[in-house]
Amino acid sequence: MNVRVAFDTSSLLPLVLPAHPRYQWVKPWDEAVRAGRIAGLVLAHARAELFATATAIPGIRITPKAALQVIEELLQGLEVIPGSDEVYRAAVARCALVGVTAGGVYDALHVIAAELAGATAIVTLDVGDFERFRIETSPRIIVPPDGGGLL
Amino acid sequence: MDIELSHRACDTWRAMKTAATIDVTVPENRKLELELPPEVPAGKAKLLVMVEEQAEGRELPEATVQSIDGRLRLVLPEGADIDWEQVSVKRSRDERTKKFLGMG
Repeated sequence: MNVRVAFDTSSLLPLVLPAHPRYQWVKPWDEAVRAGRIAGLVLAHARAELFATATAIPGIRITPKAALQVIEELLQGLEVIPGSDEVYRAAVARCALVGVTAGGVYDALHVIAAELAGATAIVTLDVGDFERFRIETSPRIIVPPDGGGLL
Repeated sequence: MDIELSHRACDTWRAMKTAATIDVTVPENRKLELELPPEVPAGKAKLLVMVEEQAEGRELPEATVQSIDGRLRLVLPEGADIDWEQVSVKRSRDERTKKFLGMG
């Protein structure tokens, strides 16, 4: 059975926009998923976050259809974890547990989804934001270009 | 320092005393340099940016969908100068949170 690796939105955004300065850092992860060396997971909420962010680049028009096409193809190769009430409730509870407020709950959503889906690791470009939600049983955090020994 | 901008801010402040509203055109690089005139007292202030003409009304260079490294990607127009710090999931979330708070 392949290692299950969850991706947060920050780690997927450069795969949508190859001009992104971190594209080369996350490309090996994309290649590992496509080659079937790892099983990639993503919370359904990332679809909305990717769309919102990719279509809001200042000074550039990115049509909704173009964004849809690219995001759908990217997520086709990943196992999408539904954003269930269980995920949202657990994310808010984790925020309360570790004392995080405001937008931090969106990072908690990705951590909780990864835990519930049995991920071994979470790949993110925002290490500090994710480490604060980890508990003993949480997946480890990997920040590209580190491959965490999985690539 | 943007001399004209500062002079207009100064003139407006002299007239209004409490608030200065000046009209500017947002440049392509989106950088405005503003030095407040000496008449403006030091202390707390709010800087409010209101954009009257929405970007949708302008002809913006458009990204295209291309296959790169075996996958469809959004390719930006040649020469596009992007401030990538402005393009982040966190920023997108923060803007949404401000909207919920009635600040956006």
